[in-house]
Amino acid sequence: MDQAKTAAWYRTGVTIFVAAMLLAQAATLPVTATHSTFLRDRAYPILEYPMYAPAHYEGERVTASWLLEGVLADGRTISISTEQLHVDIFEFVNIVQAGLHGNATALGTLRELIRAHVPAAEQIRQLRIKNYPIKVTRDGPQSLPAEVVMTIALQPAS
Amino acid sequence: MQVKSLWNGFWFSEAPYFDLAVLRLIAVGTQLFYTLDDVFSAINYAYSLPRSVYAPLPLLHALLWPWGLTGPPSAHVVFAIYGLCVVCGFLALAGLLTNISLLLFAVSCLFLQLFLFSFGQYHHPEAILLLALLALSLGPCGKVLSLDSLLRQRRLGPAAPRVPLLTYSGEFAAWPVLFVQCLFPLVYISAAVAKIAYNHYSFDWVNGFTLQYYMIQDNIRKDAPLALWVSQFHTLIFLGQFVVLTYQCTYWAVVPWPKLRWVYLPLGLAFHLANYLILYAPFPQWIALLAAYIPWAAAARQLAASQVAVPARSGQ
Repeated sequence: MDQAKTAAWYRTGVTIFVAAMLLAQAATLPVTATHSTFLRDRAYPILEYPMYAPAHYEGERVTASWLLEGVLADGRTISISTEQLHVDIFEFVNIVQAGLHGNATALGTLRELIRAHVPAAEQIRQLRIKNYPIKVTRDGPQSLPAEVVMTIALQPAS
Repeated sequence: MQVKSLWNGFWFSEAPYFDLAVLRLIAVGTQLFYTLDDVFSAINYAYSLPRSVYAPLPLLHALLWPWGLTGPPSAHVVFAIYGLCVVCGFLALAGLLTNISLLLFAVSCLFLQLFLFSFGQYHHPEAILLLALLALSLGPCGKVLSLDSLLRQRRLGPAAPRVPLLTYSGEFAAWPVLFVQCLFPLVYISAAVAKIAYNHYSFDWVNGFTLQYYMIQDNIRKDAPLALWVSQFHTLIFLGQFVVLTYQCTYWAVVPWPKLRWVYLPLGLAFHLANYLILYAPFPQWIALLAAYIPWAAAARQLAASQVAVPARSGQ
């Protein structure tokens, strides 16, 4: 094949690559505009970029994380930290938030992590999920009481 | 016909190979650093998670489908791909078998990223660099500043005609650089569209409290004391949010009017560095790829040709 023909084929290949990638990336824009959070990473490495996109308002509680509290058989409570569960904070927030939205797999994962990593996990009868005790104000963060948002029954492992 | 000539005029105009090679060195160097620094431990972490967390991304699913895999691939396979990735990364950086090694590097990096993001969370900095590496691997990025070019010169011998390194150019040297230049505006517009669409098609995002919220949130999540301190300054943060949204909405202007890069590049650099220092939200891949907007060969030529005033020598 002569050089001109090779160059023409190469130009066609590049055109297909460039057009496909840029159009795919551009196609995420109407999806983001009309179906927020639908795409997420489904078409990775083509992504939408909603970093820090949801707006927040004065006085809103900062849901940076969640507090976990285990209720033992004798009624005492113990706090369970993210570090104890051996997951990073983002994974932890994802799992808990999915659980709060009723995702059974996420709740199962949370139970599994507690059984695997928390000492005396077999004595825990209930797991309480509390929201984070901080709100945003014009002058920065301000504390407010944490509230129980979900209680999950934990059966002793058979 | 006119569309075709406009298209070809944009993507396939003569450009120096030097610019493309510099972008290769920066892109591969950045990805290789990230791969060596972070990916190995991230793979180990992924395997430490409960199996129920694994939900393969569609492209990973498609790649694994011929092998009939429904669960995560075995650690041996993933670490073997990691090893291949590192070897190919060094070869691509040195420019030996540049296109093949860079293509393998890009594809293996993409595989590893798909694998890591199949465990429940994903992040934004990596994708644009992966697309850039794919584009670079298809372009003539080993023509100069590579072992391939040294070997080629040795083969051609001392009698072969020579051209200055900074003016050596070709019609296919521009497109990977332009591809990255066109990708950035789409990414920034995506960020801007999300900020408007997620909030009922309003400009509520620019209210000061939004960024204060994220600063407090990131201090809690990542122990970022600077974010906590800055979160007290409502008015300053409000102005910062206004600048960010304006920047993201108008960044596309850099493509038709390249001179605007001298406004947008320092702003972008400051924006990403502030994200890094205050929110601990590092986007080093994006900072590195902003190099695609710098005309390296022209800058080096100008620097080499510039003259400096010197004091007259005594006796002259």
